[in-house]
Amino acid sequence: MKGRIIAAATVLLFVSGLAPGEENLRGRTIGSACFGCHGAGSDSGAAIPPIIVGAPAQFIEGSLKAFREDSRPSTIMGRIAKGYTDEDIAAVAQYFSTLGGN
Amino acid sequence: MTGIKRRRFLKMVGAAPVAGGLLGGCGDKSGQVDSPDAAMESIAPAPGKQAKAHVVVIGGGFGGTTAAKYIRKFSANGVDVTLVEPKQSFVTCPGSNWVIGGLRDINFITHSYAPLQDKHGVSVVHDRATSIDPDAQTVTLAGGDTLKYDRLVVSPGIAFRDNIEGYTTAAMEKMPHAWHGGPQTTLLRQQLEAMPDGGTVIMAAPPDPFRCPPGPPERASMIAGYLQKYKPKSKVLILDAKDKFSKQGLFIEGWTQHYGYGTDNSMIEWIPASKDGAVRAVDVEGMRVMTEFGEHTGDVINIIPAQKAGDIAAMSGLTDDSGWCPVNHLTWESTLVGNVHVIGDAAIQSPLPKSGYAANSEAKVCAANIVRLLEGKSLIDPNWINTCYSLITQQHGISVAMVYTLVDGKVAKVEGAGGVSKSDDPPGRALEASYAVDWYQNITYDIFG
Repeated sequence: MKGRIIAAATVLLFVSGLAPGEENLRGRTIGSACFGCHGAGSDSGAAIPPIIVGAPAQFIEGSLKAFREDSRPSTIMGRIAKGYTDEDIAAVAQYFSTLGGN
Repeated sequence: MTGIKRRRFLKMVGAAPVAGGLLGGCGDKSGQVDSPDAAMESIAPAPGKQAKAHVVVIGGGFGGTTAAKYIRKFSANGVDVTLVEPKQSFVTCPGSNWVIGGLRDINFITHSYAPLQDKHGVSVVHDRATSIDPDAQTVTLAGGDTLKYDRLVVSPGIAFRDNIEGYTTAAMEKMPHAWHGGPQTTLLRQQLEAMPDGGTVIMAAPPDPFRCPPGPPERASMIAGYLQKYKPKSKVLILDAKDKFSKQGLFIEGWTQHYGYGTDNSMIEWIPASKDGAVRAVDVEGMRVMTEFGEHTGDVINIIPAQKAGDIAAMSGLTDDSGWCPVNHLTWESTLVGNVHVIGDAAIQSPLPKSGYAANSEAKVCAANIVRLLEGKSLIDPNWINTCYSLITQQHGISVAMVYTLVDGKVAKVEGAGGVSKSDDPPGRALEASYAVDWYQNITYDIFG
């Protein structure tokens, strides 16, 4: 477990833009609001919308921007993604990527 | 891994390079208890050997239960939390229209508090809070116990106003409101099942503001769907105290498509306030409802009265003249009583709606900033989402969503975001019908799981 933690920490410091020891509170604040639909764990019983916990940051960031620009079609995500800046999206993508599923 | 062990572990490896989400890689089941985001809070100067701070939460619905769980998560179990809720299990209002329409069983919308206690370490006390003493910072329970708090969260939901003459507590057993999930939901369902074909179901919809704005038209849809299948000569008559309602265009589009709305054979008729729709009185014996100028007789009558904050809020000086609770939206602390936070339907949260999703979102902001206050740290900049799905049929779903931020100390919509589902989009309707059920499972897992 220790090895995985150190590896995760190394990746984190490269991609997050956060200073060492800085908490990604912006990502946590935005991300917490997403769990109402997306499920905070994989055993909620719902198949969709996808569980985004643990997804790669680049994937989340790219998806949210595509939804926001309507280049990726959606029922509801386009409406929600329009509520966030590039910085918000980077922060929340970073936050989800570092959460473990269960 | 317990919170204490994890804290020791962090000390051992050195806390300095640790940033958000570090422990997420553990992937163990206990991640539900010691969430990674919560673990990082524990790196802060520990309270040492002092007694832990204690937060009491009154009300185990969408707001209160979320707050209890997330205070534990955000403090890495560093704050003790007691939830006071009289009921042994919770029947949600979201999803209750599906039970009334026969799409789902009552068990589908009934949730245990066991995970809250066993997985998250919240102390759940099944008792009723009878009074709050803000000076002594105590809550007194009906059973006689007194709980001392450092911070109190009040999430009491709604109570009914006496705006409809004759609609007494006894009348509710004959003409259910079904606006609290539970026995009232089952009663309304049973009455629909017992009603003969050709009957009229009357729904009295309340004036603003009230819990779950799309709830009444969704209920009408679900009842119409049931009648269409089993009692096709019957109809639903909505008598409304308003002239418009939530997602109106999408509901009317769906009603037109599925229930003949606007034709002589429509299964749903809606009478707005301006056409004498507001119900003023009921005659329980005669199964009649009276408006200003007229009256209607029904075979099943569902009365949804006007609403205000739950009783404990008014009894504790948390409400203003509006009957709702003014709060600071940064922390959800009452502007009337210090160290007491009010969330969910009871709070004045507009432009956030009085919805389960909003209560869940408010609770997380409240929980985060209560933990920051207790730890003596700067407050976080809040952000909220609301997402409400409604079913018109089992395969026809619609939604409304919005993102909110804090502007000048108050909740405000983010310009350009949100709105309702696209109209005339059949594939979207089918997708959103399935999302509605997934939404339900995910949000209730986030709260009760």
